[in-house]
Amino acid sequence: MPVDLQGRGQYLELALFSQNVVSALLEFVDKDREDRLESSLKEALASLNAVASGDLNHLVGERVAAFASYAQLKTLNEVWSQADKDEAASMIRSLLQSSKPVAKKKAQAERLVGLFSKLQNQALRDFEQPLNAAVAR
Amino acid sequence: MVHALEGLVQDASSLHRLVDSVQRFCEEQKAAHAYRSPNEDFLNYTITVADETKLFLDRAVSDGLSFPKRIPILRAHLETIKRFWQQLHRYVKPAGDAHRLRLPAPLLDLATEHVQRVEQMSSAKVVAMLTPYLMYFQQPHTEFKKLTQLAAAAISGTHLPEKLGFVELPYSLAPNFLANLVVYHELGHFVWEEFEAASPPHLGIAGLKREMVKCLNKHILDFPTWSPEDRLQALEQVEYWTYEVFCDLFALRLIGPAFSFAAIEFFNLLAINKSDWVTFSYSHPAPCCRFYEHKRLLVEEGWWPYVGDLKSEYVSTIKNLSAVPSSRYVAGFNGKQPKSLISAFLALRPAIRRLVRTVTEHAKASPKDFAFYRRAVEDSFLHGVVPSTVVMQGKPRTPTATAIVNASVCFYLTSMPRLMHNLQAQDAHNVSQRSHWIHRLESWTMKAVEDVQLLIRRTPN
Repeated sequence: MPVDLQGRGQYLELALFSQNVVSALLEFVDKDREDRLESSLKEALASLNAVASGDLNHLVGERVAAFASYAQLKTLNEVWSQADKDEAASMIRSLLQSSKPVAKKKAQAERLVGLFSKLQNQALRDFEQPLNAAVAR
Repeated sequence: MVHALEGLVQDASSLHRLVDSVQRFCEEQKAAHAYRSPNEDFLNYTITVADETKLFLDRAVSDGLSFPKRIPILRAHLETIKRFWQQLHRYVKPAGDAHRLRLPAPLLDLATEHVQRVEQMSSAKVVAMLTPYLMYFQQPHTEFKKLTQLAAAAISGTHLPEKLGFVELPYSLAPNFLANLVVYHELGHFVWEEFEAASPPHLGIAGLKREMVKCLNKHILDFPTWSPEDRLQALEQVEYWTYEVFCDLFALRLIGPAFSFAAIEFFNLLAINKSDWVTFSYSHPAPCCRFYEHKRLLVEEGWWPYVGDLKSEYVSTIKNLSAVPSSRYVAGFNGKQPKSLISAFLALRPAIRRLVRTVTEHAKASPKDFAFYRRAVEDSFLHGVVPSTVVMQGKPRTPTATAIVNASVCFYLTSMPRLMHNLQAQDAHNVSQRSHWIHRLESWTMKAVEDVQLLIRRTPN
């Protein structure tokens, strides 16, 4: 494995994953476009559900989009409290229900933008400084 | 807000310049050199992604103008794409350096054809890269591919071609043949990662992962009480070792004992300390454990009767390393209950062996072919003849490529003095003369493999 990517790529993966969720949410909030919203949110929800299950087989065996590695899970736990994780999962479930009023959905989307931006920024910091981050193999 | 916008434009311009520069590099390399097709595909991919990134940058600035309060988020997005380009940058130069004249192309083509016989890998292609490190790498292409997929989603861009692997060779050894047999191990990583990334994941890999969890639960008594991060870290640790043994056995199944001897040669070149032979590191099982698995497979598959009595120090090394009992293995890494982790891994080995056997069923090298052609091939080498065709009982025959490779390695280990004895003014103890004739042996081998592969491709089924 190349010395400069070893153990760091997973942080960048998490940053890109978070960016894709944020971009889909912003398109919805700012441009009323929902093209990428459902698929992004479903991936995020499946990943959060796998974490919540606490089942190792579930986390590594079912190809979830994020949090299935030690580095990503540690970063998530550093920047999101348990309440954040629960709230995020609940808001995503709510956004995926088409019957909700648009204004309420946009408010929840805005809150999710904040959470996933925080995750992206931490992942970028860990990518830059792996020695200070959760794993430095 | 004007300053924020100006900052965004500056970030975008800076990234635009980097992307443009990498794009021009790819275009210049393509114009100047001939490449194997996977390298050309990768350079073309980079050129396309460069165009798409430039459009993404224009959109980011446009969004900044329309939604000024989003500028901090947009700058974070640019920062992330910049980091992606830093990774791509890391791949482009070594791939650009690896043009046909700098590589053992017949060996890479042969190895690719072998991998294509593995189940689900018929369209596999391998990008060769040259590294400044004295080390072979299989670029962690699942990680890199995942990055390219996520980046593609982020910039509405192109994906890498399917089943494309990345193997990095030390630039100094790139023209060699024998040392580069180590790439078969790296191709094992490629196959594993493709299986793992398949949707749904390969059944064998999914089963092996479940087995890992079982072994961890069995050998670490309080494992279920560990935190999720610690459990995941332990699983990843065992997974790293599993990759290595899987890849060694994979290489042995595809190319035979030549791989073991190439591995010993490479370990010698790295001057690995003797005390490290029993040490499990973070990333690799102890060499003793690995060579125990080598010898076990060579015996089980019927190779050992043909190579076990070669008068070569390399054979003694394999015998000695494989004879070290597992009770002497030690942990050379920090972590929770390292001894128990090693025990869990050792218990997993039968499942790894079964998986390798299954996936290489149609790609395995034949010890019988080797035994049949070996003497004729070695006789050709002894007379300085390329063994593309050998005469046996008065009839011309074409040896298999794996028979040629293994015979060549055996010849290298045992018969260089005999070859040099046949030649005028050559002294087998003269290092520079010996190196010269090893190089010649490699050239003959490479030519024979190329010829045989051509013949096979031209022969109708």
